[in-house]
Amino acid sequence: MAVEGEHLDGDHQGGLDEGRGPGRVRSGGRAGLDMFKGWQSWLPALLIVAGMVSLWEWVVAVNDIPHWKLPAPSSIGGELWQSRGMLLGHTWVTMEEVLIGLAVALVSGVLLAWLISLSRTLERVIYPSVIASQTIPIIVIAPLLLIWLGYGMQHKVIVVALISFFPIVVNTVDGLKSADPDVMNLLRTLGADRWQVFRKVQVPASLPFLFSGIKIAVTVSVIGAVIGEWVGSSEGLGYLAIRSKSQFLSERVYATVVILSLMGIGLFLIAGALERALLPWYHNQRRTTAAGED
Amino acid sequence: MPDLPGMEHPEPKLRMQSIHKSFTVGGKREPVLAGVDLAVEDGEFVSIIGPSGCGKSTLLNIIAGLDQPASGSVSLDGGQDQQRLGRVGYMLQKDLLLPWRTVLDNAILGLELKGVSRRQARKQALQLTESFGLSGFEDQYPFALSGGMRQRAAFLRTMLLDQELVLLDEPFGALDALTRIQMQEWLLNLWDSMKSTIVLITHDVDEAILVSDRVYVLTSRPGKVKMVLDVDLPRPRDFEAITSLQFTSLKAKLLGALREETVKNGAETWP
Repeated sequence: MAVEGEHLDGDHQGGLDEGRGPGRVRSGGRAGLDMFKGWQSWLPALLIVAGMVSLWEWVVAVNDIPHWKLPAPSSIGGELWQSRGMLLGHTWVTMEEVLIGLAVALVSGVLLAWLISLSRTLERVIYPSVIASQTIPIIVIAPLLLIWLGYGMQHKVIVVALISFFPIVVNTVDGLKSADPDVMNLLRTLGADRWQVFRKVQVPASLPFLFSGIKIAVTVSVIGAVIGEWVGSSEGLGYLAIRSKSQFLSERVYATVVILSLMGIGLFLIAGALERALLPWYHNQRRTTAAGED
Repeated sequence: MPDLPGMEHPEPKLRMQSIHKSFTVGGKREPVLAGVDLAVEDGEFVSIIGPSGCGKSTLLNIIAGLDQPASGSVSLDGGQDQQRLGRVGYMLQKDLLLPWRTVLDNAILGLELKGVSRRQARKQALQLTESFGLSGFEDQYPFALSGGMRQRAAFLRTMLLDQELVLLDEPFGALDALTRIQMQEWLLNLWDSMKSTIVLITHDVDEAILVSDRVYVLTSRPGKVKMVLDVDLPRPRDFEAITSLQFTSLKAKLLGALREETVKNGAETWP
């Protein structure tokens, strides 16, 4: 810290850098969130979806497209209603895999991020493997996991965890590093040791980043569960989709897709709500700066 | 504190002797401090002023214990080479408030780190929020506060620890002129009532004279002490002192010394 400190006069200019929130690995989550506040603000999104569905319905009807090629939205809706019991059963199976997988991803992701942030050496040792884990196609890994772990739930949970821990690690590492060095120095002058600096500054500073990571993770986790089920399973929405496809039950395939995307959206909204509840300072700060008050 | 000849002097609060320090910038060794001597008595208010880049902040980092000198000695209360981190309060131009903590919880940070319970620390801080102009804002997050208030909250955090020495690195530099004057007067009152020992770094000649017992002028880089100016204006002072004859002659001396340094330095401009 000492020599690179470079506290030559005049570089204290610039004030508090308010605008810099977490900004790295993130797929437009922040901007999207405010869309879900107050029901009027839902309206444009609903209208667009309704418009697209109507167009779909109309194209199918006018061109007399056979239902196994492209079912009309109305018949997908009908299928959702008629087979609701069966669909719900499979939904629950997939949901369970997703939730357990996410829990594993969260714990291992935060732990890895913490290790990586501990020292340069650990970063150089661990980070490459973390990145490598994402370059191996999950569709190649999944059958191997099935062979190693058998036909149960484990391999699906691991596929979910494998696909969703990455955004959590990357974001949390960036978050732990985002703490202002001046603030960390200030804490040292207040008598803090390294562990206290970590707890009081680095951890809170990383939380908004962690939540960004979680929001990406929950959306990809659903994909992970489906891949896991495709490779080998006798239940779950992914399994149902692949079986229905081979039976030319296209309505049912689309019904599973609808449920899967609702699941992803729902998890995303829950993550956003948790963030607002747990980090009020962050959320309100963003609102004030967005309104141009600072 | 008058320097009576023959009187036995207790050790000063802070004594720095021939402090040297250099940084390596782009592979080149660049001396920043070249033998700074400085002493601050208990209860004194001392300012350090100098051209941009003269190493003032490096000096403060060394006093605070964040950085070590290459050579020379620093003693706090007479003790040599002890750990100074945690004993010297430090405040920068940036308020450095933690955005996830309310004003009150920011203020108690130092106490908390010392192991005081949150409840006890809050109680202690609440007794002071009034005199720091923060009452009614204790439970606000920093982003909702004005620049002056944030700076006062940072002050409260610094003062609450009751450290032996307080370092202020251009604490009012980011504030507008009017707020700055208010804060300077407020700081004078605070210092008067808290009897703390303060070292202030500033770019502002008026500010230095207004608040200080003594002003150290540093040379341009590498910094060493060019001049020590005793400010014998009567206390308590307020902003009106600025127009007095005595003040103006002190200011002329200071500006003269600073101009010499800036001219020597060529490219640098002052202020």
